[in-house]
Order: sequence, then structure tokens, then C-alpha cells
Amino acid sequence: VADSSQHRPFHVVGIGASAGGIEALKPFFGALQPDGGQAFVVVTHLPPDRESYLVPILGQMTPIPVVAAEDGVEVEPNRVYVLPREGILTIADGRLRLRKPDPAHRERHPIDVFLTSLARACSEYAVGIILSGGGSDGTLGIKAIKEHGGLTLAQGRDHTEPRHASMPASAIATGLVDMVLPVQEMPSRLLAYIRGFEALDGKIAERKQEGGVADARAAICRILRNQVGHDFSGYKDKTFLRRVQRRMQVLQIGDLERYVERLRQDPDEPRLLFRDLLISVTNFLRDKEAFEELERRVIPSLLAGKGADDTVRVWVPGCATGEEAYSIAILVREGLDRLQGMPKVQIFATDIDEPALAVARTARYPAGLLEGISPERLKRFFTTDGSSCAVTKEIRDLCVFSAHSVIRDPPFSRIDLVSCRNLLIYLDSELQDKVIPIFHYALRPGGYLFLGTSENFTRHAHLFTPISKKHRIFRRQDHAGGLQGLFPLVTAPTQGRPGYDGAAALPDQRRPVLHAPRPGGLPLRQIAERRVLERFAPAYVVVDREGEVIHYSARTGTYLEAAEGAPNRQLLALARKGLRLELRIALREAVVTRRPVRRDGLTTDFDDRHQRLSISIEPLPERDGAELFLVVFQDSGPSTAREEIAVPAGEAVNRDEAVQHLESEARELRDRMQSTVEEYETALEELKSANEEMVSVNEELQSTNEELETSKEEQQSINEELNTANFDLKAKIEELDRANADLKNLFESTQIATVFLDRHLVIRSFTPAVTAIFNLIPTDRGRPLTDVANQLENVDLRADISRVLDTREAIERRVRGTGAASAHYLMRILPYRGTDNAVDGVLVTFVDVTQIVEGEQHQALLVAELNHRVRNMLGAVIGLVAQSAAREPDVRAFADRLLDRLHALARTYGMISRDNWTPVPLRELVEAELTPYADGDDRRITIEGSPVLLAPKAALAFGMALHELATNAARHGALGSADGRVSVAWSFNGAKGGQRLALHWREAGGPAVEEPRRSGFGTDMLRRLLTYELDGEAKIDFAREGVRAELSAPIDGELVRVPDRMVAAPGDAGAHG
Amino acid sequence: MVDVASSSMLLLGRRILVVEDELMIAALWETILIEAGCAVLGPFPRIAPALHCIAEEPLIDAALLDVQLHGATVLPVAEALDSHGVPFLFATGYGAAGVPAPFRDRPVLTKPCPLRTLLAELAQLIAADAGVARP
Repeated sequence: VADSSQHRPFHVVGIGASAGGIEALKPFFGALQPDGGQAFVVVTHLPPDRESYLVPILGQMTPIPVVAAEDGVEVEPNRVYVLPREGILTIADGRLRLRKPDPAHRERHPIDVFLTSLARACSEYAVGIILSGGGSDGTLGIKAIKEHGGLTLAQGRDHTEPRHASMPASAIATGLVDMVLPVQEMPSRLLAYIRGFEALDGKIAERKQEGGVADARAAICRILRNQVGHDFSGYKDKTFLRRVQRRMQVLQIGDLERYVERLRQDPDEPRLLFRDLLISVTNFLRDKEAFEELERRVIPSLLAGKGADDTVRVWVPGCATGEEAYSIAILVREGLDRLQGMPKVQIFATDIDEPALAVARTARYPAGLLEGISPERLKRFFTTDGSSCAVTKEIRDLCVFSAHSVIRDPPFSRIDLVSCRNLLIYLDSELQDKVIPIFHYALRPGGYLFLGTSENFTRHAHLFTPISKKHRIFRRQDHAGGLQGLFPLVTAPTQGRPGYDGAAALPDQRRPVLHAPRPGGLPLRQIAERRVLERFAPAYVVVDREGEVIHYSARTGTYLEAAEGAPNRQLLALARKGLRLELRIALREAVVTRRPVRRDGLTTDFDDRHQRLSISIEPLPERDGAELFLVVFQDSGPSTAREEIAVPAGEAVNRDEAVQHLESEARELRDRMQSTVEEYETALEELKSANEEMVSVNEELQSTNEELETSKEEQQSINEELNTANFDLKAKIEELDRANADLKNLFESTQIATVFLDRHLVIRSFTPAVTAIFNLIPTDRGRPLTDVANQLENVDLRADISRVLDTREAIERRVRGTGAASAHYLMRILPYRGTDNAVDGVLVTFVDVTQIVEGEQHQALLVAELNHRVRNMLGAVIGLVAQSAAREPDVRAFADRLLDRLHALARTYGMISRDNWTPVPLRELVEAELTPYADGDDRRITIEGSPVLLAPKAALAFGMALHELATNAARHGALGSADGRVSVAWSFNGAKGGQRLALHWREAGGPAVEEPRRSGFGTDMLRRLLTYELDGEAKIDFAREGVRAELSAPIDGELVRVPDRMVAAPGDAGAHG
Repeated sequence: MVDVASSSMLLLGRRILVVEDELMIAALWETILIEAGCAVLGPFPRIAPALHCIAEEPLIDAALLDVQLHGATVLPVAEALDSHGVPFLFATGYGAAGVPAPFRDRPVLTKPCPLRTLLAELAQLIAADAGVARP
């Protein structure tokens, strides 16, 4: 494949699809060109123990060969490999690897597993496509491909909207999908990308010297430096240009120069390219050095001094699929090992991308994403099953994932560490400006900020001090230095307030760092300044926004006094009468407006003296998020005795009363106000605690929500499998329907009568041919067959069937039908074996063998007839031999005569058998006997007569008779001399119905004939033959001038008959005779 | 079993009816029966003359019957003989299966058969009949 050295590298396209995927795959492969030169690997979610039908389905869509992926197969271009059954498919060294799934741990993300391996195996030559499906499988795979420089596509919501959009949506939400397209457009865009890819390789090689590409590259680098402040001139040529080319491809810009133009004009494009260039997906502990630095320098101080009651809070904004959060959780967990007590650790991992969060919550990752993790950590913090690894519960429980926008939602607070390695590159500089102060706010004083290697901020440099510039680790600036500058004198030992540390009781560790100055170590000027301040400066206190005193100056006794009850630092409680209300109002105003507030003309009582004074409150610069205020008390004039004040000089006495009245009224109002204020404070306290409760309830809800998310995830993957199983089942049902229809047609068309019965002889089904034997109608299904009348002779079906059920052996025998046709059937009763091979019924078939039986009967008849004939023939021969022997004393003569007769017999048989024992014409018979004596002289023998047909028996009789006449004529009569003649003529005489055939034999021209002394065997036979065989007659007259004979036989239509037209005109026949 | 000598003795002067439609066979039988000293009635090739003979002749000792006569069975002749108490013997080319159903128990010769077997069977028939009719 890509890294195979002997071949040209080609692209391998990994396609992940699930529910609704077949609908998406079909148009994809339908639109695919056959010789694009890529290899395709299709991975879907398959239920266990089920073969996929995808190979034939996709095979129909594309001319490219579609094959089932097998272990060890070398991937070739122009081929589609399909995951054929549930298994873990990966690719390495140009070969597919298919492993059996571990039944105990089903792999729920086979697409992630494959795409991750594809990314590693093919890097830039990898293409990942995510099509329709539920859940979030493929998201991690897309990340891996993108990170290795490959191309990523997802099915877009278009008119071909994926049926199940959550899988592609999850991939798209990562921001790492290059092109979101309808499936039909994917092949062409893919091809264009690959062409551009190859062209770029060529260009880099060929135009290097010309400097065209180098110029474009330099221009791009310049634009990037100006726009996003990052210098890419050090990047590798090829890597850089590949990413540029991918952007060009996405924008469908074919020309580098035009792209540079676009970069100049489109303010978004530099940022998008920047992001593409910086794609560095946060893997586990990816960027090893940075994490090591974090582990060494940050984690220990995060945990230092923490006990079981403390909480360590970490925030990972933009956590995406959770690797970063889990990485930090691992580091923290290891840090905890070194502690005595176990502080509570909360890692808040947030993102706006819900699908990515779902992946993160599942906490399962393909093994390929865990490369950076040491074996010890892998062993301790992950459970490996098959091809994916799950984060252990120990780590998982440290992390809380929730949907949260850094920009829109209120930030987290009191965080110890913010890790944000993968977010800022997605934000423009304006948003970055907003985010950095948010982090500052969220972190507690001294908290740490951990950024991605390529991220930086310049505008807010004062908020953080770098700890490791190289690895982008920062510490929150607490403005401690500024505060120190403000309060150098406060805690001077000379002040006589030993041990006082104003910040000691501050909540939340929000304690300003107040260092006691080292006496004697101060320069003279400072000492002098301090002295002046002590002597001449007005008294003051520093308070927070709630009025808690953080710091007292000297000589505040005039204005403050210890309140009764428990020691208290609340300024308003400490203030002397007459100041309290004004202080409250002024402080509130200062807090709200954050501007200095001044109140003049106040008085306070102090040791029976009146003191007029002014208060000024001004906010101090904010520090650690804590707002502090400086409250300064300034006397206006010296204090006076109470009397002097009571009667001021120049005041009219009559005004006193009014003033007194007003004062008492004011006092009353103040008291009322005081109580209102106290009520307000109580209510505030209650609200605070209610808020606390709400926060904890919220956190509980969040973790419940998370559990729900996890179970939803599982539900989704089960749903996925069900969907796939459902599809398979549908296809199977269709197949069954087809098979069923085939069987039904076979049933309808077959002539073999078949009845299916269950154990109790109840009819399950039957073929239409059965109706000839049983009077069945379709509604008879379910009735016992024995209830139905049959048309069979002597058949006890019940007995036969129960025998078959008992013996489980088939019965086969012939039965006869009782119907009019009296058909013969071959009845077979076979045990019906169900799917589990158990006999649960019988199959009764009837094959109509009527024709066969009739044929057999006919054959038997023929054989019997043949036997009869042969025996008769042999009997005749025996008789012939015996008779001849009795009359011929001379053996030689006997043999001659016998052979003559046998030959004649054979001749006649020859004639008879020639036409299958059909009648023989008389003329032929006569010719056969006489022709041998003609000696070529036409006149010696004359034959006359109209056609007559002789049945075999008659033919044999006439044949023998003619033979005897002929041999006699040859030995003693006309045929013995040269001039002798024989005429044979026959005619019909007698009335119709009693017609007879009369054949006349006349010899002439031979020697004189003498009546033989004793009638010879031949003559005897001649005389008896016709009588015996044909009920005819033979007369012989040994007349002197020549032998005359008349052979006659009845024309009975069987043995002797006249062909039809001759019978119709007996007159004609007579004319011939 | 009757031996050849005694069979010839038994046959002397016996009147034997022969029904056979094959001339050569009929002639042969006629010849050897005459040589054995029998008087031959027939041979008849058809049923009508045979029945006529049975009706006319006062004494017939035994009969030799072919089963098939020009397509008809010899059954009427056998029945007539049976009613006159004349023993008979079937001779057929079809074997025992060709014998008409009512007379399956009668002796059957399969044609062609050795002539001495024929004579022996005939003698046996006469002897058995003699044993019953003339003790």
C-alpha cells in the first residue's frame, strides 16, 4: 500500500457505515469509477454469528471486484474489501488483519479500530469516510486519520440526508472532517483530491528550482504570520503543502496562486489553514515532554499539603473526546499515591460538542490511540480487551464530563489547574482575548494554566507568569507584589499588635501575602516615611467587600470599639455609634461604583467627647479576585466636650427643640433601618447556604446525567446491532419467501400426489394431484386424513403410517385406485423429519404408474404368446420329423424332404415376421413357393387373383400346402419337365357372409400323371391342413394330363380377408378369377 | 407311477379323444396313440366337432386337450367331459397357468413333451380313473 516500496503508493479508503449504511453505500459505489486506483475497505456493525450480505449487494453496484476481507490478504488497488462477519479488522504493512471477536468483550467500535490502524499504516494515503449510522463510532478514527495527514469525509445532511445522522454528525462535530458531502458526490471529489495529490507531488519535484511553489509557500507563511502570529517557515515542505493542498481541495481551488489570493481576501481562511496545519489531536499524554513537565512541576504543588477534607479541582475546557482529561487524571492519580490523606479530586472536562462528550464518557479507545502511554500506566489504568482499551473506573471516576461553553456559560471557579491544549486554535483572537481572563478568573490564586504547544497569548501576559515557556505552563498572577507595596508598615512590630495577621481568617485561602518586614533591613528613607505615616497619617482600615476588616492602622480606637459577644472583625459591628449607618451606606456605594466615596460632617461620641470627622472609602486595585477597600477616618477639628457641642455658638435656642425632635426621629429611623439591615443579612446568609446546596445538587445531577449518557450509549450500540440484524433478517425472509414460492409452484405443478401428515395423521398440506385419490379441499388442512374418503383398494393407511412412525423406515408398494380409471399408484410413506431430524409426521406420496403397469401386463402377455408360439412351432417340427420319418425309409431322402419342408416353413415365417405378424398377401406366398421353379421362363408359371390377405396361421397353412404341391410337381409333375407349366389362380365365390376363397392349381405339359398307389405324407398333410387349420378344404385330382388341386377356405375376415375395397366389389374379384 | 410296460398294457384298446388345433402335433399324437393300441377319436381342431363327438360316442376312456383352440379356450369341452366323468389331461404351450380356472387340479403337460411322458401320463390318468370307477 502506501508504504510498500516496490509499488506506486495508492490511497486506501476506509468506509464506516452502520444503520442506514446500505442505502448510502449503494449510491457511493454506483457513482464510483471502475479504475480510480484506490482500494476500499468497508466496515460495518455486524451482529455476532451472522454473515454479511454486503458482498453480493455491493457487487451488483460496481464493476470493481467486491470481496470479503480475509486475514492476511494484500490490499490491491481497484478492489473493495468488505468486513464479512463480526470481527476486528485492521490494516498493517499493506495487508488486512481480521481477528475473531472476543465473545466476552464485544468490540463496539470496529470502525474506530480500523480507521486508526489505517491512519497509522497509510498516513497521508489514508482516506476515512463516515456514512449513515447511529452512535459515535468512527469519530476517533477520523481524528487519527486527520492527525496523520489523511483526508476525512462524512455524509452530509442534504437531499440524501443519512437515515441515521448521529455517526456522521459526531465525526463532523470534531471539526476534523474535511468535506461534508452527499454520497453521490463523494467519488468524484475523492478522485479530484487524489489527482491533485499526485499532481502536487509532481509539482514539488519539478518546480522546486523555478521557485514557483517556494514563492507561494513563502507568501502563505507571510500571511499566516501576519494574521495569526505563527511562523511556519520551519515546517517541512511536503507536510506543509499537503495541508495547503487539502484546503485547496476542500475549497475546490486548483491553483496555488489562486489559493494565496483567497488567503489574502478571506479573513477566515488563514485561521482555517492554521488549524489544519496545527492538527495535533490530543492523544493520551501526547507531547510527552510537556506532560512530564506538568507532572514534575505542577502536580506536586497542586497536591502539596492537601488532606482528606480538601478538594483539588481541575478544569479541562474543550476536552473533545476526553484524552486530555484522562491524561491529567492519570497524572493526578499517580500524584495521590505519594500523599497520606486522599483529597477529593474533581476534573471538570467540558466541551460544547455533545457527541464527542459521549465518546469521552464511554472511556473506550482503540489501542492505536494509546501509543504514548508507558506499559506500566497501560497496565494500571486501562483494561484491554481485543482491540480497544477502556479507562479504569479509578480514573474514570475522577472525571466529570459536561456540556459547557467557555465563552457563553459562566466559568468554573476555585480551580487549581486549567488545561486547555486543544481549544485556542479554534478561536479567533478576539475570543482568545476573552478566554484568557476567564481562565484567570476561574483559577484560584496560584493556580496553573496548561496550554497547547502552539498556543500563546500576548495581550494578557500580566495575568500569568510563565513557569515553563517552552511547554506553555503558566501560573496565575496574584498581584501579591502590589499589595505588599501597599502594606509595608502595617505589621511593624512597633505597632504593638504582635501576632496579628489580618488575613488569618480569610476564607478560601484568599489570603493576601503579607510579609512582615525585616527591621533593620530597611533603608533610612523608608524608616522615615514610616515614622511620618505613623505620626501624621489618619487612621484607616482595609476591608473586603463584605466589610470584614483585613488590616487596622494605628489609632483607630476613636472610631471603632470592640463589639460585644464573640470576637468580630466586621467593620460595621466595630464602628462606634453614629458612624455605623454612614459607613454601611458609603461602603455599599464604594463596592457598587468602585469609586472613592467621601462622607463629611459626621460626629461620634468618644469618652464624653464629640468628634467631628469625615470618612473616605476608596477601592484598592483588585487582587486575587478579592476586592479590597481602604477606609480612612479623618478628624475635622479637635474633639470637643459634649456640652460645647450641645450648644453651639450662634445657634438659636428655639432651633434646639426642632433639632432634638429631628434627631430622635432620625434615631428611630436608624434603629428601624438597623433591624431591616439585620434581617437582610440573615436572608443573605440563608440564600448563600441555599446556593451551596444547589451547587452540590447540581453536581449530583451531573454525575447522574453522566451515567444516563453512558447507558444511552450502550443502548445505542445495541440498537445499532438490532438494526443490522433486522436488515439481515429481512433479506433472509425475502429469500425464504422466494424459496417458498418456488416450492409452492413445484407443488402446484407436480403430478406426484403428496400429503404431509403430522403424528396424529392430521393433514398439514397436500399437492393438488392428491385430489384424484382423496376428496380434499383446501379447508381440509388440519383434519385427520382418516376422516377423508379415499379411492384406494385395500389400503389401511392408519396401520401403514403408524408402522412408518414406529420403525422410521419408509414403506413403498403398489396400490390400485377404485375410481373409474382404476389407476395404479406407487404409494410411498416416508417419515417426515423436522429441522432437528426428529420424526414428527409422515409424507405420503402417490405416483401414478397406471401406464407402467399396463405396459408390464402387455409385456407379460407378449412373452406368454411368444412362449406359446415357440412351443407350438417346436411341436409342429417334432410332428413333422416324426411323420416324415415314418414314411421315408431312405434317410437321405428323408433328410431332403424334411429340410425342404423346414425351409418352406422358415420362408413363410420370414414373411410373417417381416411385418410383425401382420397378414401376408396370398400372391407373395405363391410367388415365394413357385419362383424358384420358373427357371427364368415367364410362361411356366402364371399367377392370377385379386388381393387377399392371410393371417399368420392361414399363411403358414397355405404356405405348407403350396410347398407340398410345388415339390410334388417338381418330382413327378409339370415342374419336373422342361415344357411343363403351372397356373395358380384364385377367386371368391359364395354369397356375401359365407364367401370362400378358392385357389386352383393346374399343371399342364408335364409327363403323364399316375394316381399314387398309396397317399404319401405330403398329400395327407395337404388334405388335412386346410381342414384342420382353416376349416377349409383341399381336393387333389391326379388327372393324367396334369395334377389339379383346389384349396378353399372361408373368408372369415380374420384368418383370411380381402382388403376393404375388394370386399366392397366382389363382382370385380370374380372377373379377375 | 406306471411304468412303460404297464402303461402300454393300460392303453390297449382305449378310446382316446384328442382335441388339438395344431395339425402336426395332432397327427403326431394320433400316430403314437394308434401305435400304442388306442383308438383315436378326432383329432378335433375346434370345439364344436369335439362336443359333437362327446355327445355321440358312448365310451370315451380319456381325453387329451389342447387349451387354446384357434383363439377359443377348450373349457366347454372340459366341462362336457367332466359331466360325463371322463378323465382328461391338458397339454398346453402356456404351461399350468394357461389352464382354465375350474380345472387347475387336473394334470397338465407342457408342449412339446416327450412322447413317452405323454403315454405315461395318459396311462396314469386311466389307472386312477379305473381305481375310482372300476375298483
